[in-house]
Amino acid sequence: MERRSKETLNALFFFGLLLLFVFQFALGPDRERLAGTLPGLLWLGFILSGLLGLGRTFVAERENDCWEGLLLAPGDKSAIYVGKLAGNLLLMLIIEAILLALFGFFFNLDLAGVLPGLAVVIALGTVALAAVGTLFAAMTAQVRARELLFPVLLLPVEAPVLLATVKATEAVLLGETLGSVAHWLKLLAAADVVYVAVGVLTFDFVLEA
Amino acid sequence: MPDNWAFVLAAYGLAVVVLVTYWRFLVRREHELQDAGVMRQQLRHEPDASAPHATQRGPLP
Amino acid sequence: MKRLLGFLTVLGLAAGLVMGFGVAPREATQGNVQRIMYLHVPSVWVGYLAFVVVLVASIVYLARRSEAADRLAHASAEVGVLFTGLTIATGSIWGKPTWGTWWTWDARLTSVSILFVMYLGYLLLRGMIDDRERGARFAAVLGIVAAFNIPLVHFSVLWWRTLHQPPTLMAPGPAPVPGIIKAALYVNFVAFTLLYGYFLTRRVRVLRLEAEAEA
Repeated sequence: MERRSKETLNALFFFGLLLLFVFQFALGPDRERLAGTLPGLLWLGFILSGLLGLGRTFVAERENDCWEGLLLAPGDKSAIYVGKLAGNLLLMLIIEAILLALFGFFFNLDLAGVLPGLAVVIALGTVALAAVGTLFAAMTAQVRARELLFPVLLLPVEAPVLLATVKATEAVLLGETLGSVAHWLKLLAAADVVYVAVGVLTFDFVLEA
Repeated sequence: MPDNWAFVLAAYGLAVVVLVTYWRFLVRREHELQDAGVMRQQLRHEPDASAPHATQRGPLP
Repeated sequence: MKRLLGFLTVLGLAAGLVMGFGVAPREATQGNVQRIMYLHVPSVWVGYLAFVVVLVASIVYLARRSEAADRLAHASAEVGVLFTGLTIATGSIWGKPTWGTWWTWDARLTSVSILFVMYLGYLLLRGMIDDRERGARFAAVLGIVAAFNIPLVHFSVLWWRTLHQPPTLMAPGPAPVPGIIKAALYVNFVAFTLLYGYFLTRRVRVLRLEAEAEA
Protein backbone atom coordinates (compact mmCIF):
# COMPACT_ATOMS: atom_id res chain seq x y z
CA MET A 1 0.00 0.00 0.00
CA GLU A 2 2.80 2.41 0.87
CA ARG A 3 4.78 1.52 -2.21
CA ARG A 4 1.72 2.25 -4.29
CA SER A 5 1.34 5.64 -2.64
CA LYS A 6 4.97 6.48 -3.37
CA GLU A 7 4.49 5.41 -6.98
CA THR A 8 1.41 7.59 -7.24
CA LEU A 9 3.22 10.51 -5.68
CA ASN A 10 6.19 10.22 -7.99
CA ALA A 11 4.01 9.92 -11.05
CA LEU A 12 1.89 12.88 -10.00
CA PHE A 13 5.00 14.95 -9.34
CA PHE A 14 6.21 14.39 -12.87
CA PHE A 15 2.72 15.02 -14.16
CA GLY A 16 2.71 18.37 -12.38
CA LEU A 17 6.04 19.27 -13.88
CA LEU A 18 4.79 18.38 -17.35
CA LEU A 19 1.67 20.46 -16.80
CA LEU A 20 3.83 23.46 -16.05
CA PHE A 21 5.69 23.00 -19.30
CA VAL A 22 2.41 22.63 -21.17
CA PHE A 23 1.00 25.78 -19.59
CA GLN A 24 4.12 27.66 -20.53
CA PHE A 25 4.05 26.42 -24.13
CA ALA A 26 0.32 26.97 -24.51
CA LEU A 27 0.38 30.50 -23.14
CA GLY A 28 3.65 31.64 -24.60
CA PRO A 29 6.40 33.78 -23.13
CA ASP A 30 4.13 36.75 -22.49
CA ARG A 31 4.66 37.28 -18.77
CA GLU A 32 1.71 39.64 -18.36
CA ARG A 33 -0.82 37.22 -19.79
CA LEU A 34 0.65 34.38 -17.80
CA ALA A 35 0.50 36.34 -14.56
CA GLY A 36 -3.19 37.03 -15.08
CA THR A 37 -4.05 33.40 -15.52
CA LEU A 38 -1.89 32.11 -12.67
CA PRO A 39 -4.65 31.34 -10.15
CA GLY A 40 -6.59 29.47 -12.83
CA LEU A 41 -3.53 27.54 -13.96
CA LEU A 42 -2.67 26.59 -10.42
CA TRP A 43 -6.11 25.11 -9.80
CA LEU A 44 -6.16 23.54 -13.22
CA GLY A 45 -2.98 21.78 -12.16
CA PHE A 46 -4.55 20.73 -8.85
CA ILE A 47 -7.69 19.41 -10.49
CA LEU A 48 -5.94 17.51 -13.27
CA SER A 49 -3.61 15.91 -10.75
CA GLY A 50 -6.62 15.23 -8.57
CA LEU A 51 -8.43 13.48 -11.38
CA LEU A 52 -5.50 11.14 -11.79
CA GLY A 53 -4.76 10.63 -8.14
CA LEU A 54 -8.31 10.39 -6.82
CA GLY A 55 -9.43 8.14 -9.63
CA ARG A 56 -6.96 5.57 -8.36
CA THR A 57 -8.41 5.42 -4.85
CA PHE A 58 -9.74 1.90 -5.17
CA VAL A 59 -7.41 0.55 -7.82
CA ALA A 60 -5.62 -1.67 -5.31
CA GLU A 61 -8.84 -3.33 -4.19
CA ARG A 62 -9.95 -3.79 -7.74
CA GLU A 63 -6.68 -5.20 -9.08
CA ASN A 64 -6.09 -7.58 -6.20
CA ASP A 65 -9.66 -8.84 -6.19
CA CYS A 66 -10.16 -7.47 -2.71
CA TRP A 67 -13.37 -5.82 -3.80
CA GLU A 68 -15.51 -8.60 -2.35
CA GLY A 69 -13.68 -8.22 0.92
CA LEU A 70 -14.52 -4.56 0.96
CA LEU A 71 -18.18 -5.21 0.31
CA LEU A 72 -18.44 -7.94 2.92
CA ALA A 73 -16.59 -6.02 5.63
CA PRO A 74 -18.71 -5.86 8.74
CA GLY A 75 -19.67 -2.65 10.44
CA ASP A 76 -20.08 0.84 9.18
CA LYS A 77 -18.71 1.27 5.69
CA SER A 78 -18.52 5.00 6.33
CA ALA A 79 -15.34 4.34 8.26
CA ILE A 80 -13.78 3.12 5.04
CA TYR A 81 -14.87 6.33 3.36
CA VAL A 82 -13.33 8.50 6.04
CA GLY A 83 -10.13 6.49 5.92
CA LYS A 84 -9.85 6.75 2.16
CA LEU A 85 -10.77 10.43 2.33
CA ALA A 86 -8.01 11.12 4.82
CA GLY A 87 -5.52 9.28 2.63
CA ASN A 88 -6.63 11.19 -0.42
CA LEU A 89 -6.47 14.50 1.41
CA LEU A 90 -2.89 13.83 2.38
CA LEU A 91 -1.98 12.83 -1.15
CA MET A 92 -3.65 15.89 -2.67
CA LEU A 93 -2.11 18.30 -0.18
CA ILE A 94 1.38 16.94 -0.81
CA ILE A 95 0.93 17.20 -4.56
CA GLU A 96 -0.48 20.70 -4.24
CA ALA A 97 2.41 21.80 -2.07
CA ILE A 98 4.85 20.50 -4.66
CA LEU A 99 2.93 22.13 -7.50
CA LEU A 100 2.80 25.40 -5.61
CA ALA A 101 6.54 25.27 -5.07
CA LEU A 102 7.11 24.54 -8.75
CA PHE A 103 4.83 27.42 -9.73
CA GLY A 104 6.69 29.72 -7.39
CA PHE A 105 9.99 28.64 -8.87
CA PHE A 106 9.08 28.78 -12.56
CA PHE A 107 7.01 31.94 -12.41
CA ASN A 108 9.19 33.63 -9.84
CA LEU A 109 6.44 34.27 -7.33
CA ASP A 110 6.99 35.66 -3.88
CA LEU A 111 4.75 33.38 -1.87
CA ALA A 112 6.14 34.06 1.56
CA GLY A 113 3.62 36.69 2.59
CA VAL A 114 0.54 35.12 1.10
CA LEU A 115 1.21 31.58 2.23
CA PRO A 116 -1.16 31.47 5.24
CA GLY A 117 -4.10 32.81 3.24
CA LEU A 118 -3.26 30.55 0.34
CA ALA A 119 -3.08 27.58 2.66
CA VAL A 120 -6.61 28.24 3.90
CA VAL A 121 -8.03 28.46 0.40
CA ILE A 122 -6.18 25.38 -0.77
CA ALA A 123 -7.22 23.39 2.29
CA LEU A 124 -10.91 24.26 1.86
CA GLY A 125 -10.86 23.50 -1.84
CA THR A 126 -8.98 20.25 -1.46
CA VAL A 127 -11.45 18.85 1.08
CA ALA A 128 -14.23 19.47 -1.45
CA LEU A 129 -12.26 17.76 -4.22
CA ALA A 130 -11.29 14.77 -2.14
CA ALA A 131 -14.71 14.28 -0.54
CA VAL A 132 -16.58 13.91 -3.82
CA GLY A 133 -13.62 12.29 -5.55
CA THR A 134 -13.42 9.48 -3.02
CA LEU A 135 -17.15 8.81 -3.28
CA PHE A 136 -17.17 8.83 -7.08
CA ALA A 137 -14.02 6.72 -7.23
CA ALA A 138 -15.84 3.99 -5.33
CA MET A 139 -18.83 4.30 -7.64
CA THR A 140 -16.87 4.15 -10.86
CA ALA A 141 -14.36 1.51 -9.73
CA GLN A 142 -16.41 -1.36 -11.09
CA VAL A 143 -17.92 0.40 -14.07
CA ARG A 144 -16.63 -0.10 -17.57
CA ALA A 145 -14.91 2.97 -18.99
CA ARG A 146 -14.23 4.16 -15.45
CA GLU A 147 -11.36 6.41 -16.58
CA LEU A 148 -13.86 8.34 -18.67
CA LEU A 149 -16.79 8.31 -16.31
CA PHE A 150 -14.87 9.49 -13.25
CA PRO A 151 -13.80 12.88 -14.67
CA VAL A 152 -17.14 13.28 -16.45
CA LEU A 153 -18.96 12.93 -13.14
CA LEU A 154 -16.50 14.82 -10.95
CA LEU A 155 -15.82 17.94 -13.01
CA PRO A 156 -19.35 19.37 -13.28
CA VAL A 157 -19.93 18.79 -9.58
CA GLU A 158 -16.69 20.58 -8.71
CA ALA A 159 -17.42 23.58 -10.94
CA PRO A 160 -18.58 25.83 -8.08
CA VAL A 161 -15.54 24.81 -6.02
CA LEU A 162 -13.28 25.68 -8.92
CA LEU A 163 -14.95 29.07 -9.32
CA ALA A 164 -14.61 29.82 -5.63
CA THR A 165 -11.01 28.69 -5.20
CA VAL A 166 -9.72 30.49 -8.28
CA LYS A 167 -11.40 33.73 -7.27
CA ALA A 168 -10.13 33.45 -3.72
CA THR A 169 -6.62 32.50 -4.84
CA GLU A 170 -6.60 35.45 -7.22
CA ALA A 171 -7.42 37.81 -4.38
CA VAL A 172 -4.87 36.29 -2.04
CA LEU A 173 -2.10 36.44 -4.64
CA LEU A 174 -2.91 40.10 -5.19
CA GLY A 175 -2.24 40.66 -1.51
CA GLU A 176 -5.82 41.13 -0.39
CA THR A 177 -7.12 39.87 2.91
CA LEU A 178 -9.09 36.70 3.42
CA GLY A 179 -11.93 38.88 4.67
CA SER A 180 -12.42 40.34 1.23
CA VAL A 181 -13.23 36.89 -0.12
CA ALA A 182 -15.19 35.74 2.92
CA HIS A 183 -18.20 34.83 0.77
CA TRP A 184 -16.10 32.47 -1.37
CA LEU A 185 -14.60 30.89 1.74
CA LYS A 186 -18.04 30.41 3.24
CA LEU A 187 -19.20 28.76 0.04
CA LEU A 188 -16.22 26.42 0.13
CA ALA A 189 -16.84 25.61 3.76
CA ALA A 190 -20.50 24.89 3.00
CA ALA A 191 -19.47 22.67 0.10
CA ASP A 192 -17.02 20.81 2.34
CA VAL A 193 -19.68 20.13 4.95
CA VAL A 194 -22.26 19.02 2.38
CA TYR A 195 -19.90 16.78 0.42
CA VAL A 196 -18.38 15.05 3.43
CA ALA A 197 -21.79 14.58 5.03
CA VAL A 198 -23.27 13.10 1.86
CA GLY A 199 -20.20 10.94 1.43
CA VAL A 200 -20.40 9.58 4.95
CA LEU A 201 -24.16 9.01 4.75
CA THR A 202 -24.25 7.34 1.34
CA PHE A 203 -21.06 5.30 1.30
CA ASP A 204 -22.86 2.34 2.84
CA PHE A 205 -25.10 2.25 -0.21
CA VAL A 206 -22.18 2.38 -2.59
CA LEU A 207 -20.32 -0.48 -0.99
CA GLU A 208 -23.24 -2.81 -0.61
CA ALA A 209 -22.70 -6.44 -1.42
CA MET B 1 -35.39 47.63 -32.23
CA PRO B 2 -35.78 45.10 -35.03
CA ASP B 3 -38.13 42.26 -34.25
CA ASN B 4 -36.00 39.29 -35.18
CA TRP B 5 -38.99 37.04 -35.86
CA ALA B 6 -36.61 34.57 -37.45
CA PHE B 7 -35.06 33.94 -34.05
CA VAL B 8 -38.43 33.63 -32.36
CA LEU B 9 -39.44 31.13 -35.02
CA ALA B 10 -36.16 29.27 -34.62
CA ALA B 11 -36.58 28.98 -30.87
CA TYR B 12 -40.21 27.84 -30.97
CA GLY B 13 -39.54 25.61 -33.95
CA LEU B 14 -36.68 23.93 -32.14
CA ALA B 15 -38.82 23.44 -29.05
CA VAL B 16 -41.64 21.91 -31.07
CA VAL B 17 -39.29 19.55 -32.92
CA VAL B 18 -37.54 18.41 -29.77
CA LEU B 19 -40.69 17.94 -27.69
CA VAL B 20 -42.66 16.21 -30.43
CA THR B 21 -39.72 13.91 -31.20
CA TYR B 22 -39.46 12.92 -27.54
CA TRP B 23 -43.22 12.38 -27.35
CA ARG B 24 -43.16 10.16 -30.41
CA PHE B 25 -40.25 8.18 -28.95
CA LEU B 26 -42.29 7.58 -25.78
CA VAL B 27 -45.43 6.57 -27.67
CA ARG B 28 -43.56 4.27 -30.07
CA ARG B 29 -41.58 2.61 -27.27
CA GLU B 30 -44.69 2.04 -25.21
CA HIS B 31 -46.47 0.38 -28.13
CA GLU B 32 -43.45 -1.79 -28.90
CA LEU B 33 -43.25 -2.97 -25.32
CA GLN B 34 -46.99 -3.52 -25.02
CA ASP B 35 -47.00 -5.61 -28.17
CA ALA B 36 -44.05 -7.59 -26.91
CA GLY B 37 -45.87 -8.06 -23.65
CA VAL B 38 -48.96 -9.35 -25.38
CA MET B 39 -46.87 -11.79 -27.41
CA ARG B 40 -45.22 -13.05 -24.24
CA GLN B 41 -48.63 -13.64 -22.70
CA GLN B 42 -49.74 -15.58 -25.73
CA LEU B 43 -46.63 -17.74 -25.72
CA ARG B 44 -47.24 -18.59 -22.09
CA HIS B 45 -50.74 -19.83 -22.82
CA GLU B 46 -49.82 -21.64 -25.99
CA PRO B 47 -47.63 -24.54 -24.80
CA ASP B 48 -50.78 -26.62 -24.37
CA ALA B 49 -51.52 -26.21 -28.03
CA SER B 50 -48.04 -26.52 -29.42
CA ALA B 51 -46.72 -29.34 -27.21
CA PRO B 52 -46.38 -32.80 -28.75
CA HIS B 53 -49.70 -34.60 -29.05
CA ALA B 54 -48.68 -37.26 -26.59
CA THR B 55 -51.06 -35.88 -23.97
CA GLN B 56 -54.00 -36.22 -26.31
CA ARG B 57 -53.34 -39.87 -26.91
CA GLY B 58 -53.51 -42.47 -24.23
CA PRO B 59 -50.76 -43.36 -21.83
CA LEU B 60 -49.60 -46.00 -24.28
CA PRO B 61 -47.26 -44.82 -27.09
CA MET C 1 -55.69 9.41 -16.35
CA LYS C 2 -53.11 9.62 -19.08
CA ARG C 3 -55.76 10.86 -21.49
CA LEU C 4 -56.86 13.57 -19.10
CA LEU C 5 -53.30 14.71 -18.44
CA GLY C 6 -52.52 14.71 -22.14
CA PHE C 7 -55.63 16.70 -22.89
CA LEU C 8 -54.89 19.24 -20.17
CA THR C 9 -51.31 19.52 -21.39
CA VAL C 10 -52.35 20.34 -24.92
CA LEU C 11 -54.87 22.81 -23.57
CA GLY C 12 -52.20 24.41 -21.39
CA LEU C 13 -49.70 24.66 -24.21
CA ALA C 14 -52.31 26.17 -26.49
CA ALA C 15 -53.20 28.71 -23.82
CA GLY C 16 -49.52 29.41 -23.36
CA LEU C 17 -49.06 30.12 -27.04
CA VAL C 18 -52.10 32.35 -27.14
CA MET C 19 -50.85 34.30 -24.14
CA GLY C 20 -47.34 34.47 -25.46
CA PHE C 21 -48.18 35.65 -28.94
CA GLY C 22 -51.71 36.98 -28.85
CA VAL C 23 -52.23 38.60 -25.50
CA ALA C 24 -48.78 39.63 -24.39
CA PRO C 25 -47.64 42.88 -25.92
CA ARG C 26 -44.52 43.60 -27.86
CA GLU C 27 -41.88 44.28 -25.26
CA ALA C 28 -40.63 47.83 -25.03
CA THR C 29 -36.85 47.46 -25.07
CA GLN C 30 -36.24 44.10 -26.73
CA GLY C 31 -39.01 43.86 -29.28
CA ASN C 32 -40.73 40.62 -30.15
CA VAL C 33 -37.58 38.61 -29.54
CA GLN C 34 -38.52 38.76 -25.87
CA ARG C 35 -41.31 36.26 -26.61
CA ILE C 36 -38.68 33.53 -26.54
CA MET C 37 -38.72 34.03 -22.78
CA TYR C 38 -42.11 32.29 -22.66
CA LEU C 39 -40.20 29.17 -23.70
CA HIS C 40 -36.92 29.79 -21.94
CA VAL C 41 -38.04 30.62 -18.42
CA PRO C 42 -40.66 27.86 -18.00
CA SER C 43 -38.10 25.38 -19.36
CA VAL C 44 -35.57 26.23 -16.69
CA TRP C 45 -38.29 25.99 -14.05
CA VAL C 46 -39.23 22.51 -15.26
CA GLY C 47 -35.57 21.55 -15.16
CA TYR C 48 -35.25 22.53 -11.52
CA LEU C 49 -38.55 20.84 -10.68
CA ALA C 50 -37.41 17.66 -12.38
CA PHE C 51 -34.14 17.59 -10.48
CA VAL C 52 -35.85 18.13 -7.15
CA VAL C 53 -38.07 15.15 -7.99
CA VAL C 54 -34.89 13.18 -8.75
CA LEU C 55 -33.58 14.07 -5.29
CA VAL C 56 -36.75 12.97 -3.51
CA ALA C 57 -37.10 9.79 -5.56
CA SER C 58 -33.43 8.96 -4.96
CA ILE C 59 -33.79 9.30 -1.20
CA VAL C 60 -36.96 7.20 -1.25
CA TYR C 61 -35.19 4.55 -3.29
CA LEU C 62 -32.27 4.28 -0.88
CA ALA C 63 -34.62 4.20 2.09
CA ARG C 64 -37.25 1.80 0.74
CA ARG C 65 -35.64 0.12 -2.30
CA SER C 66 -38.80 0.88 -4.23
CA GLU C 67 -38.37 0.11 -7.93
CA ALA C 68 -41.08 2.65 -8.65
CA ALA C 69 -38.99 5.35 -6.98
CA ASP C 70 -36.00 4.32 -9.07
CA ARG C 71 -38.03 4.57 -12.27
CA LEU C 72 -39.35 7.95 -11.21
CA ALA C 73 -35.82 9.22 -10.61
CA HIS C 74 -34.62 7.92 -13.95
CA ALA C 75 -37.56 9.36 -15.87
CA SER C 76 -37.40 12.71 -14.12
CA ALA C 77 -33.67 13.05 -14.78
CA GLU C 78 -34.22 12.35 -18.45
CA VAL C 79 -37.05 14.84 -18.83
CA GLY C 80 -35.07 17.33 -16.76
CA VAL C 81 -32.06 17.04 -19.05
CA LEU C 82 -34.39 17.50 -22.02
CA PHE C 83 -35.83 20.75 -20.69
CA THR C 84 -32.48 21.98 -19.43
CA GLY C 85 -31.05 21.46 -22.90
CA LEU C 86 -34.01 23.36 -24.29
CA THR C 87 -33.31 26.16 -21.82
CA ILE C 88 -29.74 26.46 -23.04
CA ALA C 89 -30.74 26.35 -26.71
CA THR C 90 -33.53 28.91 -26.40
CA GLY C 91 -31.35 31.10 -24.22
CA SER C 92 -28.64 31.03 -26.86
CA ILE C 93 -31.08 31.79 -29.68
CA TRP C 94 -32.44 34.70 -27.67
CA GLY C 95 -28.94 35.91 -26.91
CA LYS C 96 -27.78 36.24 -30.50
CA PRO C 97 -30.00 39.17 -31.50
CA THR C 98 -30.07 40.62 -28.00
CA TRP C 99 -26.44 40.50 -27.00
CA GLY C 100 -24.94 39.96 -30.43
CA THR C 101 -23.37 36.66 -29.50
CA TRP C 102 -24.52 33.03 -29.52
CA TRP C 103 -22.86 32.31 -26.24
CA THR C 104 -22.21 34.33 -23.17
CA TRP C 105 -21.16 33.28 -19.71
CA ASP C 106 -24.01 35.01 -17.96
CA ALA C 107 -25.27 33.66 -14.67
CA ARG C 108 -28.26 31.69 -15.91
CA LEU C 109 -26.72 30.10 -19.01
CA THR C 110 -23.63 29.11 -17.02
CA SER C 111 -25.56 27.63 -14.10
CA VAL C 112 -27.94 25.75 -16.36
CA SER C 113 -25.06 24.41 -18.43
CA ILE C 114 -23.40 23.00 -15.34
CA LEU C 115 -26.68 21.41 -14.30
CA PHE C 116 -27.13 20.02 -17.78
CA VAL C 117 -23.73 18.33 -17.75
CA MET C 118 -24.19 17.03 -14.19
CA TYR C 119 -27.44 15.24 -14.97
CA LEU C 120 -26.23 14.12 -18.35
CA GLY C 121 -23.52 12.39 -16.33
CA TYR C 122 -26.28 10.87 -14.21
CA LEU C 123 -27.87 9.36 -17.32
CA LEU C 124 -24.46 8.23 -18.53
CA LEU C 125 -23.81 6.46 -15.24
CA ARG C 126 -27.13 4.65 -15.51
CA GLY C 127 -26.34 3.63 -19.03
CA MET C 128 -22.94 2.23 -18.15
CA ILE C 129 -23.92 -0.03 -15.27
CA ASP C 130 -25.47 -3.27 -16.41
CA ASP C 131 -26.54 -4.52 -13.00
CA ARG C 132 -29.98 -3.00 -12.53
CA GLU C 133 -29.86 -2.87 -8.76
CA ARG C 134 -26.38 -1.39 -8.55
CA GLY C 135 -27.23 1.12 -11.24
CA ALA C 136 -30.25 2.25 -9.27
CA ARG C 137 -28.24 2.58 -6.05
CA PHE C 138 -25.37 4.53 -7.60
CA ALA C 139 -27.70 6.76 -9.57
CA ALA C 140 -29.57 7.54 -6.37
CA VAL C 141 -26.34 8.59 -4.64
CA LEU C 142 -25.37 10.72 -7.61
CA GLY C 143 -28.86 12.21 -7.73
CA ILE C 144 -28.48 13.31 -4.12
CA VAL C 145 -25.00 14.78 -4.63
CA ALA C 146 -26.10 16.63 -7.75
CA ALA C 147 -29.19 18.09 -6.10
CA PHE C 148 -27.25 19.39 -3.10
CA ASN C 149 -24.82 20.91 -5.55
CA ILE C 150 -27.51 23.03 -7.21
CA PRO C 151 -27.49 25.87 -4.67
CA LEU C 152 -23.68 25.84 -4.65
CA VAL C 153 -23.68 26.17 -8.43
CA HIS C 154 -26.28 28.92 -8.29
CA PHE C 155 -24.43 31.12 -5.82
CA SER C 156 -20.93 30.53 -7.10
CA VAL C 157 -21.93 31.43 -10.66
CA LEU C 158 -23.98 34.41 -9.52
CA TRP C 159 -21.10 35.87 -7.53
CA TRP C 160 -18.68 35.06 -10.33
CA ARG C 161 -20.76 37.12 -12.74
CA THR C 162 -22.02 39.95 -10.61
CA LEU C 163 -19.26 40.88 -8.21
CA HIS C 164 -16.46 43.08 -9.50
CA GLN C 165 -18.11 43.17 -12.89
CA PRO C 166 -18.95 46.43 -14.60
CA PRO C 167 -22.72 46.98 -14.56
CA THR C 168 -22.96 47.09 -18.37
CA LEU C 169 -22.39 43.35 -18.48
CA MET C 170 -25.64 42.89 -16.61
CA ALA C 171 -27.80 44.38 -19.37
CA PRO C 172 -30.56 43.55 -20.03
CA GLY C 173 -31.01 44.12 -16.34
CA PRO C 174 -33.97 43.18 -14.15
CA ALA C 175 -36.41 45.93 -15.05
CA PRO C 176 -39.93 45.88 -13.58
CA VAL C 177 -42.01 43.39 -15.56
CA PRO C 178 -45.45 44.49 -16.77
CA GLY C 179 -48.43 42.55 -15.43
CA ILE C 180 -49.54 41.08 -18.73
CA ILE C 181 -46.11 39.63 -19.44
CA LYS C 182 -46.06 38.12 -15.98
CA ALA C 183 -49.48 36.60 -16.62
CA ALA C 184 -48.31 35.11 -19.90
CA LEU C 185 -45.28 33.69 -18.13
CA TYR C 186 -47.43 32.08 -15.44
CA VAL C 187 -49.71 30.46 -17.98
CA ASN C 188 -46.68 29.01 -19.73
CA PHE C 189 -45.28 27.88 -16.36
CA VAL C 190 -48.45 25.88 -15.78
CA ALA C 191 -48.45 24.54 -19.33
CA PHE C 192 -44.85 23.38 -19.10
CA THR C 193 -45.42 21.82 -15.70
CA LEU C 194 -48.31 19.84 -17.16
CA LEU C 195 -46.08 18.80 -20.05
CA TYR C 196 -43.45 17.67 -17.57
CA GLY C 197 -46.04 15.62 -15.71
CA TYR C 198 -47.26 14.08 -18.94
CA PHE C 199 -43.77 13.14 -20.15
CA LEU C 200 -42.91 11.83 -16.71
CA THR C 201 -45.94 9.55 -16.55
CA ARG C 202 -45.30 8.12 -20.00
CA ARG C 203 -41.59 7.66 -19.40
CA VAL C 204 -42.19 5.88 -16.10
CA ARG C 205 -44.66 3.57 -17.84
CA VAL C 206 -42.12 2.74 -20.55
CA LEU C 207 -39.53 1.98 -17.86
CA ARG C 208 -41.97 -0.29 -16.05
CA LEU C 209 -42.78 -2.14 -19.25
CA GLU C 210 -39.06 -2.52 -19.94
CA ALA C 211 -38.54 -3.95 -16.47
CA GLU C 212 -41.39 -6.41 -16.99
CA ALA C 213 -39.91 -7.44 -20.30
CA GLU C 214 -36.62 -8.29 -18.66
CA ALA C 215 -38.20 -10.23 -15.82
